Amino acid sequence: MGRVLPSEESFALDIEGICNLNADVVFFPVRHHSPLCARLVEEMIYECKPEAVLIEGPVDFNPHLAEIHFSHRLPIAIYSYVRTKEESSLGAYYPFCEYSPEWRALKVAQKLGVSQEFIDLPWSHLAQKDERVHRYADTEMRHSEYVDRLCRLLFCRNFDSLWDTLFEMQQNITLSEFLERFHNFCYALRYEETEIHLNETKREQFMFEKIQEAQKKYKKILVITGGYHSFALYARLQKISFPGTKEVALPNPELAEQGIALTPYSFERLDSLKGYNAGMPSPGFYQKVWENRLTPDLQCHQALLSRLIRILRKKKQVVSSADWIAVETTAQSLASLRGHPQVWRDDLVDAVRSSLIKEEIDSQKENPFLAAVYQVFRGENRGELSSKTSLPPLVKNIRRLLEEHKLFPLREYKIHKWDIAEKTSREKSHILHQLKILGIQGFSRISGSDLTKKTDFVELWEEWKIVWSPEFDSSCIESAAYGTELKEAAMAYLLESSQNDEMTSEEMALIILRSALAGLNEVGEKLYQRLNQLILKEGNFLILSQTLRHILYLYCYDEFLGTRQFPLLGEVLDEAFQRGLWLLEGLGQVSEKTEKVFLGIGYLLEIWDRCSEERNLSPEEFVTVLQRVSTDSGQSPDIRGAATGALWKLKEANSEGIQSSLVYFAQPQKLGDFLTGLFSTARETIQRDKGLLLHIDKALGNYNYDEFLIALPALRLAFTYFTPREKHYLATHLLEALNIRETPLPLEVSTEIALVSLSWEEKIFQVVEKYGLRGRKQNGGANG
Amino acid sequence: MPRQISQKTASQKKKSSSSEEIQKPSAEIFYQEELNKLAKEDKKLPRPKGWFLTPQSVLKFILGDEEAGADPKFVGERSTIERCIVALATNRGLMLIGEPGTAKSYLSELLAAAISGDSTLIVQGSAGTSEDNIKYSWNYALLLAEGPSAKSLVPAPVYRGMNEGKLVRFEEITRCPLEIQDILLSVLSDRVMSIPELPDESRTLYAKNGFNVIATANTRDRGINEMSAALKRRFNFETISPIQNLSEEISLVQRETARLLERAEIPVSLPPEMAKILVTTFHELRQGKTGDGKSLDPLSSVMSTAEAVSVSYAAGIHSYYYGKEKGEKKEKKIEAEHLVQNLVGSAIKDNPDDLKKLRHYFNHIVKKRKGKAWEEYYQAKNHLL
Repeated sequence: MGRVLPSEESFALDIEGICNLNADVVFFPVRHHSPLCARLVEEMIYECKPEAVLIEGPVDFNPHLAEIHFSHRLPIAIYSYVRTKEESSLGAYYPFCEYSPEWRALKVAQKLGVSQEFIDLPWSHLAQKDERVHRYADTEMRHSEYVDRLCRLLFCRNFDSLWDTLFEMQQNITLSEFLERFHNFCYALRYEETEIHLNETKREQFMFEKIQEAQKKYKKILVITGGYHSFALYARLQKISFPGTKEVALPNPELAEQGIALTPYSFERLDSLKGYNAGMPSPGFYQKVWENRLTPDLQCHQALLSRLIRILRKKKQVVSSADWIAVETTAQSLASLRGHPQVWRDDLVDAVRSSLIKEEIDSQKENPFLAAVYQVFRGENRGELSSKTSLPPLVKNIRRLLEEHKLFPLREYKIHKWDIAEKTSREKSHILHQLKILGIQGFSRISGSDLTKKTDFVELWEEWKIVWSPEFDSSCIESAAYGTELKEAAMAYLLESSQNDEMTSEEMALIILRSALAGLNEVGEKLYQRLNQLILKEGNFLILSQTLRHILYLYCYDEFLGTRQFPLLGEVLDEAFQRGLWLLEGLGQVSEKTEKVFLGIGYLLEIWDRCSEERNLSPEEFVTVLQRVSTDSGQSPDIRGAATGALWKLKEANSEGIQSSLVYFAQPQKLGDFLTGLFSTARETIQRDKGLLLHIDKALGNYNYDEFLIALPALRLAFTYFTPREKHYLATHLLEALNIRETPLPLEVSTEIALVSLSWEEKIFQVVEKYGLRGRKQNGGANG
Repeated sequence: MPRQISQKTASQKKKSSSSEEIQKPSAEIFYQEELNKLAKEDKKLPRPKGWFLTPQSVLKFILGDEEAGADPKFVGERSTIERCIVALATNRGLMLIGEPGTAKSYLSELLAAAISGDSTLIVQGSAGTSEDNIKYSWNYALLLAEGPSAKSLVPAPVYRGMNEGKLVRFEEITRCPLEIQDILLSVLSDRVMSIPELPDESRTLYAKNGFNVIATANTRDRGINEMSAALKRRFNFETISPIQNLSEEISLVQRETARLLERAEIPVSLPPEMAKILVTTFHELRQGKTGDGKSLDPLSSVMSTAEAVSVSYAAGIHSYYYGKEKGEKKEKKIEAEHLVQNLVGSAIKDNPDDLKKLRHYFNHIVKKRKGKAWEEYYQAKNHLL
């Protein structure tokens, strides 16, 4: 076993003792969210008739226990939250659905008039050292050498399917058989553990103390905890030595604030295949297992299968009766090949996969058929709290904040305008941005400096319109599941939305901007990590170049959002730069949207200009990539031009080199394109170079009339990169270089001519607007 | 009824050409002992009619089982094989699809060997496959002399499979014209074949228990989309995906390369670090993602495990005949440059875009990898021209 036990004999396997239902303290080990445990725990309460049931659940909820018995629609959760001295907020859930053993125990106990109590250590004691926010996820059992070994032996994919094989499918198992088997299982699992986490020991000690307290009041007690803890608690009670039963200190944590409340939950969040950090897969399937518990002959997959087929047919998939029969027989045969007493989750998924899907299944992509299966297995139940439940803490918090800052929405709308550089108005702005993130109704930002488009930066201001809307309250309550305080809820919401799989890196960069606007810099770290992941995955240069722009802004120019404090931002910048180079080189031939590619190259240059020293970016890599792009004969001339221009700007190319490449691009179809690219990146540099101008002139001089006409449109585009003054300057230089004495017409416009041309322009615009040919006016005025 | 693998056919084959001389013995001959042992053990257990082994034993044979003394033969998920076996036990055919080089044909051979004890009833689909190659044709001399009779009929694989109650393997079915594919319609749904030329009493051939069809199709050629809906619904489809686990793939490539080189009597072996580099390259370019999560443009060439084996095999031969002797022992070793040179010929073939992507991969990814082997690999990139 690789580990020496202190004394083998002292770890006595007293399964008989722990299974004795006549003892004063009896234990029921659960796997959270298991229909089988739910059924058997009811049976156990009826059989043992305890005076009190003690349940693994946060002890600080005991004062509100009555609220649990209001008529809620499940699933709901107990939500516990803390705020530490360092101002970070943390929250955790104890979710219940209809088939949660804890829930059934509470219900039956209530019915029989048995006292109920939660006995687990309040989450606030663990919050800073334990990141698991789903407290009923059976995490202790998932990562165990023993479970892995059993999985290999019984050909199970993971703990979930192992549990199903050993317990959940055994519909006819009796209470005593179950207790014996599960206690044995947990005993072995725990026995092989190399180290028991200190947090678990603390919790057990706390629960043990609660049991001892209860023993003074009640004669017969039923203790319902995760199977992992049962034997340890029993061992403490019987003073048997067992791993992880030593005494530990339970100091009170230093917290600024803490609270606990009920909150609505959903199957979607409960499903481990969808939500992260969730306990059991496919809650909808187990709901069916639970509903069918009284009629074990009824195979629960049949109802689910017919629902699935209804859904598929609604989606216009052809599923004939013959297909239905095929799925059914395949599922039955798979179950029998695998030795399942009835058709189970995997059997049905595999049967659908095998007999309905007539195409390649790409493991990297979501298959619509399988997605429909998982949707049916997930179920769509959403919880709702009884109206008698006290308002969620988030709603109270939002009201308080709005009243404090005199922002509470009234029936008559009010416009607020402020300078966000100023401290108090920035606080208000943060609150409103946070509300906007959560989608709370009634608050809209109507104008102001736009950080996403980077316009109007002279003064940082915002204008908000605030008005009461009938959805104000309900949208607050809906957001309650995200936390108990506005700021925390907004952060949780952003974190959740950042997990979306189909998001691009640009969208993620925008989320970061939003979080900075809302003053949520605490989540910055996590959001940057996610951005980093998305940058690595990003496959589109044009999108990445937008991302680059936002990151560059946050890194270089931001003074008031406070984003530069994140060391990670620099790393993200490096990564984005690298990725930009990779994508630029792998761009393939571009024929459309080339100007966006130029912009992208421009952002790369800008990052290089401003950050290369600070960030230690490798010049060699940047230059070699640009060289390869500029000499890639498969690439279009304009992109090659832009890369050449960039090299010139970096002083890695010189006028002579470019002149010689001009020879290559001298064909009339190519010249203009090449110059467009070149001018886009090296507009400044080129004005200082007479040699190149002469060269272009020479190339043009060699064209005959037809060739010139071919070259003309692209050349025109190329020269639009220069302003009239720059063009004038170029013309003067050209004439000089050609030794022509004449000077071009002076670039001076008299007032009269300017006025005439302005009024002419005005007339044109009027006509255009009259016929509705022009879009909306810029200031948001009347429609054109 | 369990049967012994027909000793006659096996020994006949042996007699005609001892297994030494056979370039590649079929699975039921190669694994004859294993199969007979499994058959002996599950003799009394129930099974689908006409099957040589029980479904459980088929699973053990393919994925390996220590107790039953069976070596693992196919690297893949258990549930995939379970679905295949179940499909063959129901009244639908089994269609294995996937990228080329994912061992579809090998899996079908193993299944046929384990279920029917005979994996040789093969129809090779091609543009030239005709009805005669699938059902039956005639011995024309006899036909002219005696008229149509069972004697003058020359059975093709599907006829034999139905008549003997065995699995028939239809390779690359999508390469056949559609009307030829559709010959299987009545065979699969009604399990009969009519032979209108024969006299009334033998005009209809009814399939014996144990008959079914395993077809394979690769997703690169003319796809399965063109297949008729009627035929599609008579098959259960199973996607055979490339090996997901890098270390499993590395060891498979090493094992297979060693086997091929040994057979070719070339005393060179693929060093583990080279195997790792080669398979990592294949793995990453196939998945379009590097180990640390950067996404890449996947190549359009097939980057299958089989291709990786052929690259390393070719590199082995290359290093043996043209490599330099190195070290004290004057040994010849497969080096990074051999791999890179053969990557171009064996894997990338003629696609210039892919070559560009591969160079891109070297310039950005390989270059940054640490370690001597990766550096040598990067140095060899000038062969990618």
